[in-house]
Amino acid sequence: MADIPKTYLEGCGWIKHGDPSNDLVVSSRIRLARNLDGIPFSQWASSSDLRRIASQTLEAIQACDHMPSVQVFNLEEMESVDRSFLSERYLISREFSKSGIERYAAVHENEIASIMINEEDHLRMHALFSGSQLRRAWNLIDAVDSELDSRLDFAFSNTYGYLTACPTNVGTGIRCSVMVHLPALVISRKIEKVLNAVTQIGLTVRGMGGEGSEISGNLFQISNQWTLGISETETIDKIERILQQILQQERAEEEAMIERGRTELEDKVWRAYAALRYARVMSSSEAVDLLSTLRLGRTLGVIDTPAFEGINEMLIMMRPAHLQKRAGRALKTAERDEFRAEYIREWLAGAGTR
Amino acid sequence: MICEICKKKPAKLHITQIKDNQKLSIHICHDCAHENGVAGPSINTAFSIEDIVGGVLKPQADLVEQSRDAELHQTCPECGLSYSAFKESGRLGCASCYEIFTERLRPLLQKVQKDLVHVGKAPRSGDEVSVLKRGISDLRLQLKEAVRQEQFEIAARLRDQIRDMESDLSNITGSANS
Repeated sequence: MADIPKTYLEGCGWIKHGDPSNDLVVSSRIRLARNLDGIPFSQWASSSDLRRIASQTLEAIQACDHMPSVQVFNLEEMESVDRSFLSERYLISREFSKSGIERYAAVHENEIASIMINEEDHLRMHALFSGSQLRRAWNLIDAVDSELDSRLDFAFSNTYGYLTACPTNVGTGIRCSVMVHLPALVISRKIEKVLNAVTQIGLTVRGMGGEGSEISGNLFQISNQWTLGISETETIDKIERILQQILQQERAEEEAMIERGRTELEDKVWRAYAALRYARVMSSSEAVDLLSTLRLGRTLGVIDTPAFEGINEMLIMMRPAHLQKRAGRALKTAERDEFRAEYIREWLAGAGTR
Repeated sequence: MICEICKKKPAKLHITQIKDNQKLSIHICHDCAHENGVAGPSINTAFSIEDIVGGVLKPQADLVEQSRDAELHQTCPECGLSYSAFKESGRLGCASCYEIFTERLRPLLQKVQKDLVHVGKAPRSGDEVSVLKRGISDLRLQLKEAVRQEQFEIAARLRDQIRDMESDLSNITGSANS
């Protein structure tokens, strides 16, 4: 119940589902916040309340057809590195991976859906797919939610909708986010203008690590802010519309970049490839930047391997807890950088034949 | 209209009483209502219009008292969370907090949300108990708003509706007054 399954060490399940060949949109995620009626929200609940929440929700989740062969993790019984491992691959939030009592995560067999029990809200459930797949994510998590709703009493009011611990989530309790790679807009310094426009219409932009994380690797997570007074499907439509506009602007900048000079661009991409392919020491931030350049090279047709799916997977598999689980022991930072370099070298050596 | 007691401030409470086939009316301001125990925390439930106002008002006076009391103490009776604890942590204590703190939450929601009324998915729309429960909490919010705006006739009607629905609910669930 508490160990990381061996299959998790070989790759990242959800990355294979959806549209992993999308060059600009890395992933789409939709999460819903739900609470049981008549029990205080997790932060204020007693330990017996938390136990009651866990037992009721776990029973309902295990009977849920849309969560086949569900894998349940009892976070209290897990080591810190294992909890970080789940957070690194987006199955749980970073906040949730810190210690806390009666915390559980229930994960879909393909990792495309996951439910956190006793996070800020009693239930935080999400669906996650590669590429631009908000509709698909909604269909799955809507179905999971409806199934759980038939077995559990969710706190809800006609006026305020689904009641949540934080008023910023009340209403639909939905958070839709898409992670996009926008290197050309960053290079041309037009990104700030684009993102400012986004935040003015009830959307927010964050780094790849979600809330509170810095922007790195030219990866941006765009998500909705409003949850009250706007329906789930309107929210999805709105993000998809904005996403299309941003992608158009990115494509236009990419074309301008090629016109300015293809040789310089090719040089940059191949140098990134060389470093990834042969370096002996690789920090996490260097790897993120180089993988971004490699990805840009693939988008512009400068280089024809590796597949976007591989780049997405590498971004997760090279993270500290993943490296340590694969090594089977704790690694110091310097050691980690060596392991990371070795892992990326091996992956790139095999990438052409995959 | 000017308050009939202090003759200075505008009259906000309009009270009518029928006693011994005689219609007695009085129009007074908030402060005088408080002073005479018609409204506010130290309410005198035994007043009559000879002692300023009539007993007909009692149900309304109750409503005023409830709302003032909630504003003064601002602690959720369900989970015990105070409004100041919410302000500190940014997290509410339980579902009932939305009802208890609704007046204070509204400006906050106005700032961070698109609108103040939910649009979208609802749980088990076919389930009678859930529909009743939701209807009751909805009416409670409306009642608070009516009291705040001093629309006491509407408030009294809402209160009766809530009572009816609560008794329907306890008939279905089989538990008294839950």
